[in-house]
Amino acid sequence: MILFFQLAATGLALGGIYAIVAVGFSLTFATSRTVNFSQGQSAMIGAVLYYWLRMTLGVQPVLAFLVVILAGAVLGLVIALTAIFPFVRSQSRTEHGWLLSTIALGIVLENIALFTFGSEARALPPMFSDKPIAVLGIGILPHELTLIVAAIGMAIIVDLLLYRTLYGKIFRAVATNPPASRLIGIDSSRMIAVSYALSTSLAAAAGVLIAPLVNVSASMGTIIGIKAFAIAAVSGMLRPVSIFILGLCFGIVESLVAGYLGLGARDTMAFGSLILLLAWRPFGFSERWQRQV
Amino acid sequence: MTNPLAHRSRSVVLLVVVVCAAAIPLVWRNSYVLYLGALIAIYSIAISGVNILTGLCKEVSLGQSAFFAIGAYSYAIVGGSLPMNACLGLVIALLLGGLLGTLFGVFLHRLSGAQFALATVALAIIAEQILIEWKPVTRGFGGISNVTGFSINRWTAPRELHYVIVVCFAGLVYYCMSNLSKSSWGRILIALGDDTVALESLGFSRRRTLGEAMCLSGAVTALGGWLYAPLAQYVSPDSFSLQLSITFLIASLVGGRHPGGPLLGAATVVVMPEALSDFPDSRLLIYGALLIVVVYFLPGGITSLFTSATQVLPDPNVKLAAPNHSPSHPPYKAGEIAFNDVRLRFGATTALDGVSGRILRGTITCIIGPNGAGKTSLLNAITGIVPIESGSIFLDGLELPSQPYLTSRSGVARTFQTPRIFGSLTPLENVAVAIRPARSSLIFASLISTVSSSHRERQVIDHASSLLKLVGFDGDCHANTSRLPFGSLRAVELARAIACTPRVLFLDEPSSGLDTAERAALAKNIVRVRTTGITVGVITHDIDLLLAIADSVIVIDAGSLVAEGDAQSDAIRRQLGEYGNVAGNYECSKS
Repeated sequence: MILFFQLAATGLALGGIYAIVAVGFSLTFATSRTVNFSQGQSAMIGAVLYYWLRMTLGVQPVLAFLVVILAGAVLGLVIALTAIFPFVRSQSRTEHGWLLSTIALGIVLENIALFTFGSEARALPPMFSDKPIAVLGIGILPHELTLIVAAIGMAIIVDLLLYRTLYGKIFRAVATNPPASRLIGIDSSRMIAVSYALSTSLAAAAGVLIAPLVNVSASMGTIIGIKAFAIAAVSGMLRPVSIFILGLCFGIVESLVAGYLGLGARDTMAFGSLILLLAWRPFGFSERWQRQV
Repeated sequence: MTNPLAHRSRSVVLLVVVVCAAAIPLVWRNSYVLYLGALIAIYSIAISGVNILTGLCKEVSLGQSAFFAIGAYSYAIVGGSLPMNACLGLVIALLLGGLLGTLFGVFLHRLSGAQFALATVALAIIAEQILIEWKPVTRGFGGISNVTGFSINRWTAPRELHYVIVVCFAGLVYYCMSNLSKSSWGRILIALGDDTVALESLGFSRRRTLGEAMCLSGAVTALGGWLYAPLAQYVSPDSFSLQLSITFLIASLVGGRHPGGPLLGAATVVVMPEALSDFPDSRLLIYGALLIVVVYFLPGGITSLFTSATQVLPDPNVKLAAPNHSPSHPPYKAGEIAFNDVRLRFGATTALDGVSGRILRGTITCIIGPNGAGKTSLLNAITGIVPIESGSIFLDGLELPSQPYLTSRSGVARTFQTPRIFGSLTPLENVAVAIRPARSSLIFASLISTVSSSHRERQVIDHASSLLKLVGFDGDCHANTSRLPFGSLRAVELARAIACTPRVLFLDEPSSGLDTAERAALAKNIVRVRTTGITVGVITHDIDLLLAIADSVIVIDAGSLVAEGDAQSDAIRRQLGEYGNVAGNYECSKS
């Protein structure tokens, strides 16, 4: 039973990470009906940058974290400008130029990391002490606790931003009908750029948070990105809060499966259930992806 | 292919090229070159499978490594001793690849775009995990290392023989793919990529079409994998990871949709990293750069530089045949639609609130009403695009099914408010898509292009051009559809709907966006369609059009039926009077 809760706690932390990245997907989807297939690589860039700032330059953790978030925002703007705008305007129902361009960007980002950082995985010491705190008889790393708190915080902030502010309303207006929102004076390109900046800095922050748990490496991004997108897709690009809950559930189940059945079973189960869920409800648990007649 | 002579000469050219390529080892005995040549040919086969999805269906597949792995492991496990084991392995590879593809396509047919890509990624990852975990068969992470080449009676064939076999298969696949891109089935796949809703309105289900496409795609890629194992002589899970799928996808995009594209794409992804092998780790960078170049500067791939946008049907000699309502036309039968207490709601909005009415056999019935009255909702309900809440809809006394492709097959065709034209196909091909040949053996015939299939293709094209003539299409029937004027698009869509040989044909706002001359022509066309014996239902705002053509009128407002009857009856006249004034003013203020 101790093992069960131990696994669940680790899963909760990992699920929080996936959820943060998944919320990023829903943001860009909200403004432009596009998602960034290099989101996982953005998380990796965040982790690599943080590692460099901390270990090579010796920058304070909090300062380094802020720099990474800022850098993430800049990266997001670059992604929006180079990989999204050229395609979002000429977008017809069936063209996925943005899909391919973000995949290409992801490959390039991974390469940059490979050349500058090297191909080996490196361990990053946690932000705080690495002594587990005993909570209800199970040991939780302080870092894992921070992670869960940070994830909850980000999800709530993004949710409030989207559903409780004028800005969020504009966001969603752009998503529903870009030409119409342009007509009433919304700069839809700017909103798309902002959504990408936000989404990428969320991913970069997630990368920093997950780094002490999985080691920093150039190839760490792919699987994070895919799993987060899977969560976003299954939730139907829904409200951040529901994505978040789904992400936590996913993290727990994944961790339990890995703990009891082995690592190989983990990915097979995760992606097998993804395929089944998509076959059952192609638009996830919402109708927002429904094609229009 | 419609011209047998050109077909034969192309086949001869292909044969000569294959023989020359296969003869290279006689001249140039360099095992490295031979290896690269074989690898390019194998990749070109696998990428042809990708091309069916990316090029024709316009879906991004990142799961192709799973099919490739199926082929490679089939060879590695069953062995390559000729003829028995090799043939058995090949059959297993094709069957398993085709089966997995079919299952994937059928179960996930509702996915498209990013979700489809995601599902294929999941497929690739699961496949890799299964290869690692299913140790009794796949020997786990280490893989199977002692794979031998093709052999007969313990005599292992030299690499040269393997190379020749690979080149022959590559030639065969090229031949099938070039037939496919010009066949009726190929057109259907392209149409699926352009506009699924429009294709379903012509009676083809996405489920079946995508299942067939993925079946072929999976089998072809598995064939590539089956040929790969004896070349590599070693198969292990990490040779068939997501990375391989990405490589195939990039190669497919680099090459382009043309059947020759996979060969060019394969050559690029194989040769470029080899040429730059001084720089380790550069492979990934090269692929990223290639993808960027293609996505930004060459969206159609290399082959789009050499072929025009409308190369798919290469017979410019097809002239529009004279309109011809005599025996060669299928006999049109008039049908009658009755709908009973139809209710439809979108959230809190009631679109249809218990509408009942009839569209009488052999008439032109206009459905009229103000904006938001529920006219298009009624049409969507009848054609099964939107499922109704309650009520029933009958065609000639039989209840209509609630799937768009099934209603279309039952005999209800439609056009759309904004024309939904397959942009990658010419006007002639747009119409030809809807003409259903016998579906049995359609795929097979599409691949090998038999004499009877090219004869049938000829008939289909003739029929399509006569339909274009019937609706008064006066543009270039081989033009790029995206450059056609709006009026011509409407005409093409009308001809396409008639090509389904419907019993009832619905037109949704056919006159909107047309100028005065085009409206007059449209009215004449609709009347002409009725004379062929098809019942016509017209949804419109346009009082002038209604007065010119309508036999019978249904007036709808706020989701319920206001009046129904003969166009000349008093009740209808009164309704039209009220509405007509408004509409008339609207027309005046606009002009």
